[in-house]
Amino acid sequence: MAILSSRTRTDGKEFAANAAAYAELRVPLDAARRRALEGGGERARQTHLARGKLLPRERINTLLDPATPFLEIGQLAADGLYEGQSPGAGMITGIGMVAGRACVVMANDATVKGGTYYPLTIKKQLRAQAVARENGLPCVYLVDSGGAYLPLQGDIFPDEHHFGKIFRNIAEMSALGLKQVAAVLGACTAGGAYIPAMCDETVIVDQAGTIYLGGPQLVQAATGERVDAQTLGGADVHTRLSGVADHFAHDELHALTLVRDIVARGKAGALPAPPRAPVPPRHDPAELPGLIPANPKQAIPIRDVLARLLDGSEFVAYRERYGTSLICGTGAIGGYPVGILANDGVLLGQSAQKAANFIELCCQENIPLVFLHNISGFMVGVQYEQGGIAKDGAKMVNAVSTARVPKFSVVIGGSYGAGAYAMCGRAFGPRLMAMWPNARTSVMGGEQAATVLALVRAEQLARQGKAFSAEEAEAFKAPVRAVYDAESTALHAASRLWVDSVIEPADTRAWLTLGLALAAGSPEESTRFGVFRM
Amino acid sequence: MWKRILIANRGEIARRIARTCRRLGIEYVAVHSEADSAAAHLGGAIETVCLGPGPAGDSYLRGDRLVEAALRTNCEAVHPGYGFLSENSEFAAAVERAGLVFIGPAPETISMLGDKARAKALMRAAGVPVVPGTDEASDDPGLIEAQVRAIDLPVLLKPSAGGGGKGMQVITRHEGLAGAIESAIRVARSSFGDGRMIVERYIDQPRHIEVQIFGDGRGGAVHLFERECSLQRRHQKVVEEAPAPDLPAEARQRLLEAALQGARSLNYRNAGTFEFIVGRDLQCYFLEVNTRLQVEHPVTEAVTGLDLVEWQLRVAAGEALPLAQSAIACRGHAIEARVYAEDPAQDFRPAPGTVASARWPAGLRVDTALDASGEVPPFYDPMVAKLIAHAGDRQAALDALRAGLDDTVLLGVTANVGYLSRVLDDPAVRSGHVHTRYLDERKDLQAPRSREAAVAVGAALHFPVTVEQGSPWTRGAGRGAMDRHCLDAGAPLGRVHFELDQEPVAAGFAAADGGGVEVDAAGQALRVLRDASELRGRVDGRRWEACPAESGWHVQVDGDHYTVRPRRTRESGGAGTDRLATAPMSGVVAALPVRPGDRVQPGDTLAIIEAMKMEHAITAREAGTVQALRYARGESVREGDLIVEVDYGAAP
Repeated sequence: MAILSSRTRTDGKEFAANAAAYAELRVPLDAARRRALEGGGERARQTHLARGKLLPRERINTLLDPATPFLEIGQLAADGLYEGQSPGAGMITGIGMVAGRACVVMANDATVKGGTYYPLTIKKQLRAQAVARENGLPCVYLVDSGGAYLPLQGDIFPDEHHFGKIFRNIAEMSALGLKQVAAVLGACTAGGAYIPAMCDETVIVDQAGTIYLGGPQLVQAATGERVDAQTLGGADVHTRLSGVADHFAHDELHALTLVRDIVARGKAGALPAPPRAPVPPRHDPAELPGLIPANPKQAIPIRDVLARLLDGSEFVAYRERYGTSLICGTGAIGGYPVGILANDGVLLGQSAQKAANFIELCCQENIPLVFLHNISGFMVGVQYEQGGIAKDGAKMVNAVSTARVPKFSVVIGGSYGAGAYAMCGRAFGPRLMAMWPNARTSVMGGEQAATVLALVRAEQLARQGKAFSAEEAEAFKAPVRAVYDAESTALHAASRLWVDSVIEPADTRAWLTLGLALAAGSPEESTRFGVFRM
Repeated sequence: MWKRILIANRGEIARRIARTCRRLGIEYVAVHSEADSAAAHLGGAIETVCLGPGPAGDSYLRGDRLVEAALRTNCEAVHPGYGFLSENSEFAAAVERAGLVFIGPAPETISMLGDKARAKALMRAAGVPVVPGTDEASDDPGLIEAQVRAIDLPVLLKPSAGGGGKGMQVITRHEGLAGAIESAIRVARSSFGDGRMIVERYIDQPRHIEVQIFGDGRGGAVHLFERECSLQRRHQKVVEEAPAPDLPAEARQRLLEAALQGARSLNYRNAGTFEFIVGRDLQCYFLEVNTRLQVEHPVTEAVTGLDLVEWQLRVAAGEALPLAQSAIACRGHAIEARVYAEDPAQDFRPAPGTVASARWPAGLRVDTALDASGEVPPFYDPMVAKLIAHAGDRQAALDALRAGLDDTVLLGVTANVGYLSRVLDDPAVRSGHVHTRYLDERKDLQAPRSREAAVAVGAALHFPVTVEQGSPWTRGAGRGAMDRHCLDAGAPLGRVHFELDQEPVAAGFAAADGGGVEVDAAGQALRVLRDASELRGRVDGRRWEACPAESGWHVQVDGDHYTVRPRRTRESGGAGTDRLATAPMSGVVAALPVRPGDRVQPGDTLAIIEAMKMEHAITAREAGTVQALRYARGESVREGDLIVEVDYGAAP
């Protein structure tokens, strides 16, 4: 076992300049966070409060046990999309403790367009359900939604990963024994009506909650029948006549208490303690922003980062002298053993082979994997192609894909191309995935993409016998670069739910610890690898 | 001396008397009602006797049973304590008729002094100053005017049929006197149907000072100095002290002499207290004689170093007065505070109940009705304890008593500990410049000043005690990096809703560390410190203590008592199932025994449905009022149909 020492000077100009550059990166993120937390804006919030309802975030805060964390998922979803009309995609999702049990909580935000479902709302809820399923957690649905956002029905309704999948998930998780609980705190219309109807146990609030497939207006339009919302689908009707709901709540706080009671009666157990005593790193994680070079072309000192992430800064390197552009090894975070894969340069054949081997070892020992992305991609060039780098890369991707230990991905720098995949990008099923504010991800860097496209363009023009001056080339490349720059940011990725969160470097340990703790409470799976191309 | 006596009382005074008995080797028999069968005052008794059911009239006031018990248990004497039958001359006489000794004055003395008018006349005759005025009421304006003019202004006109200050008029000048008198008579007639007035010298802002005396029954008497009892609420003493503060030696001497004069004139026997009111001009006027041991006797014991119960026992046994006047000295200053199970905020409404946990201050004399826990029955005076501080001077005694109140814990019943603290903190009280109406004028002191702090403590009780082991999800990982700032910036560690004294409250947890938790209670940030895993600590510089109660906690903050319970749900008033009585199945209405407007009690039958040859009763869930009948007898109903609408909780 080695104790990582840190070579970064934390008192120098460079450190300070790095930290300052990092602080600037946070400005747009902080603004996006504020937008998300405000939901539908002050007027909508006041209207909501005037109805005697709690704001959705307050609902969750009241539902959860005091002094326990809330690990929010997809806070920045839909930021900058839908003309800014759906902050947080109109829903708050995350993991929290309810009566001593970790649960996934999904709360519609009725201040955002009446809590209607935009395409990203669906994606966000499906993502939250996936987190619940992978970690074996009960689900709590705090329902207050007008159903689908009708103008966008084509992106909400018909496809595999659209609205229907939410109901299917409820049924499947119920079948897996993961308790599905709904509290109807407001409207629950049309498709939304199936959420409480599908759940194992449902609470409905007197006067505030309604469940119906068609609201009073629709009923009148369809049959001419005039009926008020409560008679049509209020708490009294559903707990006394229809049996659509199980528990009659006098008010919201009562409903939240009933939900807590339901979860407490369920079979979900307490989470286990970490196998080792957690120890803080020997170097302060708060120093991490100073380690992120202000110039993204400069490398992040990855060992110094690990010295600030691992318990006691202790690390057992795997094949330290082989395939050195990828650091592999074991340590612990928050008392939970982890296998670390952290880039320290471009991926080469040796590093990819080492990674595949290391992943096999971790699967043998059932050690969760933590990927720290800082990768511009696999090496290119004649020598490497002829050396079969695609074959070695495939081994790593194969191992990452089939490994059944819990995986976590944190993009701390760049995450580009096949490198992003090999490092357990979104498609490879990390239990949780986050980016640091400085991180970037795209198929390749903006400059490279612009250059590639400019070269292709130059060839086309050459075939037509036309010239492509340096100025013309630059004018061609600039917009490509701009698009790549804009679409590779952490905020852009988070708003599309490519990642679950954008986290502060200093919070990375805490975030990973919570994820590892959930994973430790979920059933162990055995890994069966596929065919490795040798 | 006595071999065995019967203590005809309960609570702290019974225990107080028993203490002296034990010290002197006297056996005692304790009595109790059915409500007191496990009370602390039965401890150490050679025998205990149940007098009857809880109400005092069926137990402690049953003189016949007390005499019978004393005879049956071979007692030689009966100590009445205070209250109950202690100033009942017929009881004293009955005790003596039974061949027992009544530890107190002669029955005739009790009888004479029990008649206030007669007592006043006797004292006036003995040369004791009484409030100048008439003994006989009159509604003759001329006579009243003459009486007014005969005494110094200001003068009080008091309707003889009145009470509680109603219809009283203060005359401050002789101009317009006739008109004022006629008006007073008119008001009295219209208010009480009786226009007769008593004319008295009006004493503005009087002090209540009383003199403890002991008489040998043969004309000999000594005084044990005076007590000041001006701090009263609604004519009940709350804080008493000895000696009277800021009383010039000459005025004190007049008081003591007057009391001795009165005692000698009556051939007074045993302990007695001459009560006086003292004007701002330091003139003193006789009020009445209390022919018993006083509640506040401990302050006299503290400054004289004497045991008044021992004196009572010795004098009753026929011994001479234990000390001559010259051998009785007053040293230092003593102050007593009475702890009541009552709610000062509700106009001192008694608050009987179960004391789940009590702790009394060390370093003070504490005369209590119970030790660590016990009952405060609803039938009797709700005084639970007296705290008595004795120190070199008044300020030191005040400080000691104040500190003692801080150390007093009484959980389970609402008590006046916080009120007493506020009284003792009051500058006028601290400087000793008060009068008998002072506390009644200071109603502001009755309201607890710790409500926000109590909300914070109630919230903190919901906060988990720091756990060192376990999952990070429960180990306090919610503090800092992954807190709930994103859910509620004011309460990043969560929010709780509960009831404080049946009122719904909410509070947020802002921050926490090993020592405590910062609570946001209605916009006010308060830090609640907790001693390790104990249910006590400090909040905002005040002390708090708690103990578990049924589904919640009893909490004391700064002496004020609160109950923390989970939030109860309320009827929304809407069309909830709970206000409806619906048919459990389809059938025929066989009976409808109620009508709209009827008041129903829980379990009352509202309707009977006959179906499948069986009758099914629909009953009221709780008390309420029938609003409407939706069906008539003989009509068929379907399952789930609303038959009777009841507004639960609505009073007619």
